[in-house]
Amino acid sequence: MNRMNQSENCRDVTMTIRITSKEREQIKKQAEKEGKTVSTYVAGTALAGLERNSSRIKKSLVQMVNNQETFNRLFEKVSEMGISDSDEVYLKLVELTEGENRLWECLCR
Amino acid sequence: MGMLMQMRKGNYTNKDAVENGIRYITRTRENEWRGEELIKWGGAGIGYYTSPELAILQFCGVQKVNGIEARGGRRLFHEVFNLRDVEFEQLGSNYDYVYQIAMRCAGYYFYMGHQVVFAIHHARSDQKGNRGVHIHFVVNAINFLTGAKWHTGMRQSFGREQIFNQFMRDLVEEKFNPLEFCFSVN
Repeated sequence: MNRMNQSENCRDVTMTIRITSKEREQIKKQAEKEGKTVSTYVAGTALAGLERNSSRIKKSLVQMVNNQETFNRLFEKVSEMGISDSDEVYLKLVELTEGENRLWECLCR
Repeated sequence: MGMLMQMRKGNYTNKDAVENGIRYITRTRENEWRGEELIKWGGAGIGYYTSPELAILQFCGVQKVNGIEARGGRRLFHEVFNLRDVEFEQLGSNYDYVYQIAMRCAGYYFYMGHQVVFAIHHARSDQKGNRGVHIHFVVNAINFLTGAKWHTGMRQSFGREQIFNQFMRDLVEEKFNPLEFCFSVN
């Protein structure tokens, strides 16, 4: 079991990236500043970025779902008040929801 | 007392489960022949101000962000709350009141963190399956707040049935015995 775990954590795969010499110096400097090897620094930063993006998207998702409830209530209110679908308020609401729906489409792509 | 049934015919794990489930209950399938059964549809955590396509997109969006492709498994739950004829009569045979009950029930799923689409059906023709007035609920198996999968069994379903029946009793009291309802609330 220990040997299996060791092989999972063993850094035996190489990845090559192409960067400018200026970028290389910046990365080396930052890694030194944090007391890490370049490999550790680059891998750590990339993976942390992935996780941050993922948690940012999830937070946005919760807000988007809650926004739908707000839109549902607004459309109900508009219907109750007898606002016609050519009214500016109604058209603005439709515009808002279309924008939001484009975000949903991006998520699903 | 209304009866809440969980549809166990399918395991709803396939990629088009969400689309099939929502189109089934909103009677928007291709070559739909039971469209007249649909009274009204709505939901919580989805936009019901337009077509069911938006609800399908939003269900899938939540599932995709929470890694459904990698996780696999059940994508939705399908439950049906059946009202007896006498209960529908107690509601004044008024579909608006049934809609209000459906909204409260949908709110219950939403409060737990699950998007839901509901559809009120009144099956008049002599056919198999649910007859009379009933409310279908298609519930997203993925919790949009936590990303966790919903696990529910008979015990939880029974608990929900009690709650949904209480919503119905509360609405009957509110609409038909308003004075008594006010005093009981206060």
